[in-house]
Amino acid sequence: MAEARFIRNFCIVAHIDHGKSTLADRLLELTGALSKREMSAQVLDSMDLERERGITIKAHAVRLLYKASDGNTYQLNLIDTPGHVDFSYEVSRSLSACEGALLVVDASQGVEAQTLANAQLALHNKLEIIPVINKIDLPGADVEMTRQQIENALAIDPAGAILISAKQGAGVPEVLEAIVRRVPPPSGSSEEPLRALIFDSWYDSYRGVIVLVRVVEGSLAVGTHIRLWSNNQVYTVEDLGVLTPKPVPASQLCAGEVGYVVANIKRVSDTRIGDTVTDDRRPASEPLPGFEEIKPMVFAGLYPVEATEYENLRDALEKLRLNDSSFVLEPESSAALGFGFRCGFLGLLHMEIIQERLEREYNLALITTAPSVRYRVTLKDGQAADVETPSKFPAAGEIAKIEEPVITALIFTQDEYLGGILQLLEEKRGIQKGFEYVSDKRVLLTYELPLNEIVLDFYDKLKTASRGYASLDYHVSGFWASDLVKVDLLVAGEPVDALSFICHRDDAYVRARALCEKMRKLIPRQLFEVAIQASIGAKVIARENVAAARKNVLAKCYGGDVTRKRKLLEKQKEGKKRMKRVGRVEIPQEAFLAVLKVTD
Amino acid sequence: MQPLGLYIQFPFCASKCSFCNFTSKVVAPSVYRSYIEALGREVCLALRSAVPGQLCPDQTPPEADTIYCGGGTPSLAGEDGLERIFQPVRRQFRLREPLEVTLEITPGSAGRDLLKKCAVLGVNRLSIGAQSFSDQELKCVGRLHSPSDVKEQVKLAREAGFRNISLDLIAGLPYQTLSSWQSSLEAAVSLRPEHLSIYLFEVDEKSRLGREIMHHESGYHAGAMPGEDFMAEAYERAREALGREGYQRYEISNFALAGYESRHNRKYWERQPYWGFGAGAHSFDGSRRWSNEVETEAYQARLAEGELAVAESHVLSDGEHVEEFFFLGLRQARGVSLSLAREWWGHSPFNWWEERVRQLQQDGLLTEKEGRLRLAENAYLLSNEVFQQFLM
Repeated sequence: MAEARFIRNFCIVAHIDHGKSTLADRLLELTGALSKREMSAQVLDSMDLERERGITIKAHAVRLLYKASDGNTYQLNLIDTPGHVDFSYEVSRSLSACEGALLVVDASQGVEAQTLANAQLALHNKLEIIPVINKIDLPGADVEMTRQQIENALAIDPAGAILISAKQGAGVPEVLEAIVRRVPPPSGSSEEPLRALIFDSWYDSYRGVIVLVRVVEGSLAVGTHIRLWSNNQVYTVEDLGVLTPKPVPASQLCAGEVGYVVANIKRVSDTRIGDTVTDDRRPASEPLPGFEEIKPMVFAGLYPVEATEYENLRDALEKLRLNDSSFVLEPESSAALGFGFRCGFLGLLHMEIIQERLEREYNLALITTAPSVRYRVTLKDGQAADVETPSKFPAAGEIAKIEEPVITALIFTQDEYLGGILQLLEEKRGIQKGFEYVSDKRVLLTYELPLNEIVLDFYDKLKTASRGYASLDYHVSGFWASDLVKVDLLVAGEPVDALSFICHRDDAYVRARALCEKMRKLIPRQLFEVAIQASIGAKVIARENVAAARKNVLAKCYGGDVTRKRKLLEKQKEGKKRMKRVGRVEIPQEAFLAVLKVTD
Repeated sequence: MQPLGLYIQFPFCASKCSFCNFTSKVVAPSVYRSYIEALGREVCLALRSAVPGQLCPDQTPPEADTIYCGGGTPSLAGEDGLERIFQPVRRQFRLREPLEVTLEITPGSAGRDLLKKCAVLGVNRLSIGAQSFSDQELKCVGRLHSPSDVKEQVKLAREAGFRNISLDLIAGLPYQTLSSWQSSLEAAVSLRPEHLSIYLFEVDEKSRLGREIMHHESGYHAGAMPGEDFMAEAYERAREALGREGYQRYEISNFALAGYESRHNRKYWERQPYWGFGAGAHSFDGSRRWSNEVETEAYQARLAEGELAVAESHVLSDGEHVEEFFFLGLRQARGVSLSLAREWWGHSPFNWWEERVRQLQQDGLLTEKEGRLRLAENAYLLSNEVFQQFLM
């Protein structure tokens, strides 16, 4: 057991691709935690998807032993953090398990949106921030500019910034020294009643749930009867230890230390991020601050392309939920898409990850409906309701007030792209909260925007408007009242539930027209003329027609080849079977896919 | 036993048209000889063989009252070739008058001598592949003839005494317009053939032009194809124009002056027995459908071994009989007899079609008159939609 003064708990935060994982690898290498041979590049990113997307999804904790220049050996606990907006609550809990943060900034890119968002979170959690300017070996590196931006945008003194090239290893020893000298040691006492912070957990099929904790006060040992504060469940610690990054069992974890705990917990959903672990026999009087119930923000329907895959989809979702209690699901059925699930996610990326894992790991072909958000509706009779799917949207006449979730967005960009970006923000109903030059030509925009505008196509449009030179980060900051309407799509008079959407009244006409036109192109000609209409309540706001089919005939004589005629008819009939029937109209599944995929 | 229809396949052409989705081939004329020999062998062998037993239940040769020699381009076989094609059939079957013997020819391929020979062989009906009367349209699909060749061919045929001539036209060729189509129709009618077949170009993977279209390529003038609406309009115009001139539509794509309906083709739609000879030829004996090897090499090789060249054979199930009864019978203007259908398949589990008939009548796609069920006028062009409903 190390004395507290020889312990340092820290994390690395950075904008995507600024070199966080590479720096982590170097730290592991230098401290001998892993030999060069064991290092497959970027060991902390263990999931394939993380590696492919260059983002870290799950937090991990690695104990490094470091012999500093003062001759003492220090226990450095590196707590990894997820690097994306969707997981900002998890990030904030990981940060609160630390006393210091390395803030990595790419010298060729400068401060970006996630740099700022993470710096703000770190400051909020009262962490000692050590700015690290990375990639100084790149030809485009501009250290001075980066220092200036750190000062102007982050309000952090750039004087103590360490210059490194994580790729080449230059400056990394200085980083280790700075952690020892500048990050304060943990302050809690091992004599106090136990308070440990849960900052990560996952399901292991052999050992049950594995929880990562930071012991703030008191200590944990095998046999401790632990109690989880939020749900009062009591477990007995069966095993504990540290990750080096290989798991190494220990006899106890004391105040200030970080490690894993195994206590025969069956469900990940019982171990909530940010919850406090205390000793059931000698409980603390207060939990640790900052615990929140995480609520999904983005909702979408997931349907199997083949109806027969429904059971498989259900099993796969349940398996994924074993390790991710942050997404919720309930069965849903749609006239057009059959049986599926309405799922709630932390955000868009979270949704994409789940979707991709279902497709990749479980081999499922999915239809995902357009993502929506959770609205707060107050009815005229005073009742309030949360609505996250168009099908549950109350009739227009019953609604007294609708509020929609609002985000605060941080956008960094070059001023040459401002025109297009400001126009986009305007279109998306944004309200400017800040406009700031952080260095020559580099601008930080702060905007409030409805979340529902973000979940559709904002990222793509921002990318186009800025040619990729804009970074975005956001957090949900409240609700505002808004004039929202539900637009229904009707085919031959029958509503197609999967294609209804909720949007601002001002956008309804344009979007309705675009959707009708798209559907017109996708619905094959039927035996009768098919009207495609979009309506708000009973009022039709857009209309297109699919002309009746005029020809489907085999007008040729084949010397008595009846088999050929039969095959053609059978093929046509088979094609129809794969179509979804809406009223009398047959719509190919591809039409739904195409409409749902492109949501402009 | 109803008299048989006999079909003889001659799968060779002088050139391959871009719209052709048959398996016809262009080969040296020397190849014709061995193929025709195989044909003769097949006719003899088939009559002796027990395989298609139902067609000749006893030892007496079966009766036939139609012969149709198609292709390909059988007129390419020449006088000797045609004689060797027809002779085995004429010898082996009992032919019953009135006999209908059709030969397919391409315009310009049948001169005076050949026509004279045909008459001697008993051919009394000529089917001429005119396809179009527009030079440009003919050239673009690779036809070797010109519009004037068609006129000349008809003239020669008349002079040779042929009193039953049919012309084929295709709607939906590259560069076709409604006015060029109208001209083709008028030119065809002015030749006063007894019979006209109006085909609609069919896009599929089996023709070179079809493949280009399906793959969005532009070869074979695929970029100049008129659309679906054109085809529909062209068909309607044909029906009107031909109707005015006394040609009655008796099947989706066949029109004739009174009494000149093709008796041979009728057998296909009426599900009467027919027997096909040659590569890829199809046969039906009332309960079984079978077809020969499609490739001429395989076809000839098997006959050289002394065996029939049957490649596929299938005994129809009860359900398939019902299906065919409707999707073939309804192609004809006279439609199908409801009382007959009820007599044969009016009871469970064979009467599944009744509900579908009701629905199609409700949708206005079928009409019933004097106990016969027919396609409604507007349903001809959508007949596949109707026929699909008659698949179990």
